[in-house]
Amino acid sequence: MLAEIGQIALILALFISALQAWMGLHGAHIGDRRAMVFADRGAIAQALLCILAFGLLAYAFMVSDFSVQLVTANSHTSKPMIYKFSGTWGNHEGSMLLWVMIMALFGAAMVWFGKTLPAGLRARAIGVQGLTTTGFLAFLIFSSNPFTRMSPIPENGVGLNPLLQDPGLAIHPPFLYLGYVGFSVAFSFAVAALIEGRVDAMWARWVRPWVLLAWSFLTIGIVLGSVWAYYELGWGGWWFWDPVENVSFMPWLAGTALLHSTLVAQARGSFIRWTLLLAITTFSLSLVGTFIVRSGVLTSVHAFAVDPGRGIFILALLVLATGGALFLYALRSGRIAHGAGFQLQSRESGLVLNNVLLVVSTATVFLGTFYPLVIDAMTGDKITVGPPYFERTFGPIMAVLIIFMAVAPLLKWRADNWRRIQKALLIMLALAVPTWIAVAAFGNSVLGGLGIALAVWLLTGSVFNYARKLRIGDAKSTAGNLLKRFAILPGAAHGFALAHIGLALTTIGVVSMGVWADEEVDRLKLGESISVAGYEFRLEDVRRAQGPNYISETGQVVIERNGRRIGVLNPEQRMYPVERNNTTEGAMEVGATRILYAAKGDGNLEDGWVVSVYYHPMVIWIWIGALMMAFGGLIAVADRRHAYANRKAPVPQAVAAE
Amino acid sequence: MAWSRFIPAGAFVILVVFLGIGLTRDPSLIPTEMINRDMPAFELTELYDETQRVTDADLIGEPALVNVFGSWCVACLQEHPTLMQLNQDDTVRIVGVNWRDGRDDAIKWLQRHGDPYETIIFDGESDLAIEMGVTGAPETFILDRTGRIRFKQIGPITSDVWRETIRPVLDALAAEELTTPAPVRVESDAVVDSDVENIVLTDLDLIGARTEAVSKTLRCVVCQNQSIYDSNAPLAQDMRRLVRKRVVAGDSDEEVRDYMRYRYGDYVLMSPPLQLNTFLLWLVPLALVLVGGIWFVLRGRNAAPTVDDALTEADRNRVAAALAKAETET
Repeated sequence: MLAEIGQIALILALFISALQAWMGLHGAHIGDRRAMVFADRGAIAQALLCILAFGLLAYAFMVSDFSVQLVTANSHTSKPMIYKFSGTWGNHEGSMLLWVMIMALFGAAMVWFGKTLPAGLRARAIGVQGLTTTGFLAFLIFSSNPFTRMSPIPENGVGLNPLLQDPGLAIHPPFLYLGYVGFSVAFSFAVAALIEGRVDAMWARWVRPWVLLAWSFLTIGIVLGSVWAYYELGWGGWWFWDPVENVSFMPWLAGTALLHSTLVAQARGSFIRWTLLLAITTFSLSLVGTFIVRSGVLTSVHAFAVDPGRGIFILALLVLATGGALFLYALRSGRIAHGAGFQLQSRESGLVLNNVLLVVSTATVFLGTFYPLVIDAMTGDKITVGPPYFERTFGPIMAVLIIFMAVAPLLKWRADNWRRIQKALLIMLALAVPTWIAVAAFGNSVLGGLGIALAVWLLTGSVFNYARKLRIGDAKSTAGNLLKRFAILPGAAHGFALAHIGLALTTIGVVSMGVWADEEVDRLKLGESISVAGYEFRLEDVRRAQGPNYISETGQVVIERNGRRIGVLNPEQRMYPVERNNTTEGAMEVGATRILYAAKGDGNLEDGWVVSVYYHPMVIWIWIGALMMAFGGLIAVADRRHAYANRKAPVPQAVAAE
Repeated sequence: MAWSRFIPAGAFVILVVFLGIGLTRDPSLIPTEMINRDMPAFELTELYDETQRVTDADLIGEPALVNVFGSWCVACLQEHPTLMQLNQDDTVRIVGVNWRDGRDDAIKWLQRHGDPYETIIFDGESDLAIEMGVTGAPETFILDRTGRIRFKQIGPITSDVWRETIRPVLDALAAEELTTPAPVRVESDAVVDSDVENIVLTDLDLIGARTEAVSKTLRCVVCQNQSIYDSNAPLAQDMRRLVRKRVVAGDSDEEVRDYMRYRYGDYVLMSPPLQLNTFLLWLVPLALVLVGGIWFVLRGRNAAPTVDDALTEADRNRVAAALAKAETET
């Protein structure tokens, strides 16, 4: 019964969503206030219906209702409850429902938080959001229905892939989707603005918090995926340039360009057209990502349902949404006025460069990801593009970006001269160059030294800028009122510092892992040991045990360095009898400067076991830095100036000093 | 530049076309490199009798289906009835390659499901499979009577596949036979790796390091986006062993890669080689950076002076007054 209610809720949501789209867009066109209000109410009603549908599906999973086909295909009574719940989105249909629910929620959020937008713009934006939600609801109901029943009802389900039975992976999709779908708001606002034919700095100010929010969530989602892959997949990799990873990274890169672009648009009124294009592109990249994962077009460890039929449906959605938006852009963007100009040496200029480099890097990742498809379509040859390509192209572009992103914020808007910041630049160089030399010498790697030096360069540049904003070193500033100045500083400034410093830390982690990571593999009998990077790993014991729905074989590995005991690791292998699948649970000794990782393979008492040990320097900073970036984004959302933008009454004008 | 506004839309249309075409393709279907090449030289044992040797010379004389199977292979059960029927009707000669299996397991499996094979080659460690470019089971190679590979069927031979795909090929081969002389059967003087091994490298550390390095550049063809170094798949392990053998025999890194490419195509390389069809891949990022950089600099040079936006004297006075007021308030 409940599944049928869920089904009906979705169908109702589809109708309301279509009405919302019509009322919003047409209502704004003819200026009908009641229609626009209907659109608002529709958005909220739709959100509630989608929450209901999702809740009912989750309930079916949690009580193991095997009359629902999806539950049978993806669940089992022996699973722990938390994974029964997260199993709701551990499959194609359920994750699509999660996507739709989040999309509807963002639509409702646009109503709640957009009270002070001009009615026409808001109605149009909600209308466009309704259009996209209609499309996805149609896809869900007609080709990926989560509520299909089955008969006869089986005793038990097929089970959930053991790889997915993990806390990190349980929350990875929700955050990822909050990011992907969050960019739909910017998309809706961009299309609404194009329809209106009028865009200015205020538009950028309204859009900015939404972009920041989506970007922060996407960052967290990507970090979760990376951390999960690191501790789950048994060999300590944290990024594989796998096609599905790339399609999550591309919206992130474009989203970063977008959030910097809105900064300029909001402050200076320029870059408007570019911002519109980026807003459309970022969400479109999210759509392309959905297409890739669910259509079987590219090979990937992540591939969900391999179903060309669904692929065609999503492709159609993509054509309508992105194609429509881009053609609208081509036709209407001519009406949008240029903003204020600026010189080569200025902050805007730096942000232009930021955008150019980010867009080029997005295009590069895109090219590498889709090239096999292009070549297959054109010549039938099968080639593949692996990590070496991406590292050699993406790395250098990022290096250039880092050099300039440390400097540009120090410049003034509109027009400046680099000589004004000469002193700061010299100090930054004075720290970066010796770092390069020292690290290159001690670490035996010129490129490694360069990477760390770039991170130091960025770190000092960002700290300088932050200090300048806090007016440290100014004539009237004292330590006493530093706290007050800290509190008064707008959220965007704190966010900027956190994000840029976070990137510097991530760079240190990435470079260290790329240059100085080390590993060894050997077959060890009990009592034997293997060494890497000065750490000795000794296999002392191997035991079997029973888990909730698996049998595990765990090794006990003692780590010593220079005779001193560092820790004990318990790498295990799990055998899941229901799914007839094995997983390797690597064991880690986590420290601030390195993670020591051990994984155990097959073996027996006479021959010994295959043990792999890894030395991963500074790897944890990759994720700490990225989380700082996300946190910085969230703090920037909470900037009180956004509250000003949303106030009903205008801010009182400054008193003219006549 | 009104037309420039249509560039994004235009690029998108091109992308959609490719995505659409992509839907009709199966990216996991690797075309076989070995078409129209002679069956690779090999010397292995027969499944039922360990002492009996089978070589590539035994395959010459009559067209044959060389069917790669295993008792562990679920899809092989799907095609087994078809093969049994073909054997019963004496339609075509069927030779089996028992791949990555245990002898006893395979014999038991055949006892249970039937044995349609004239001969069964026992290939426990992919020695022959890699030579033929096998990527999974079941796969069936069609050999003509000179021992040349003419066709490869990936996946089970159901009765539909037999009717629509395999039989037409065999019919064409039969027609060809009428116009060409019969091949002469020669004793195989194939030099097989396992017998004659020129051991050039003896430094174990170096062998290990080079094997590791080369393995990281080769793709596991039965995995989703992993190198044969990273993968635990049995075929990947066998390929690693082969890489090691080639390294020990004195091949350079490029030669080992070429060995694999000969059998599996460019697909087996993790990093695309610099050749005509990948030229664009390496060129475009460079071109984009140059274009972006030039546009950026030109834009900066052409920036119009922006005096209209500068602060006026009146503005400055207002700011000074407001700041003074704020100072007195704190």
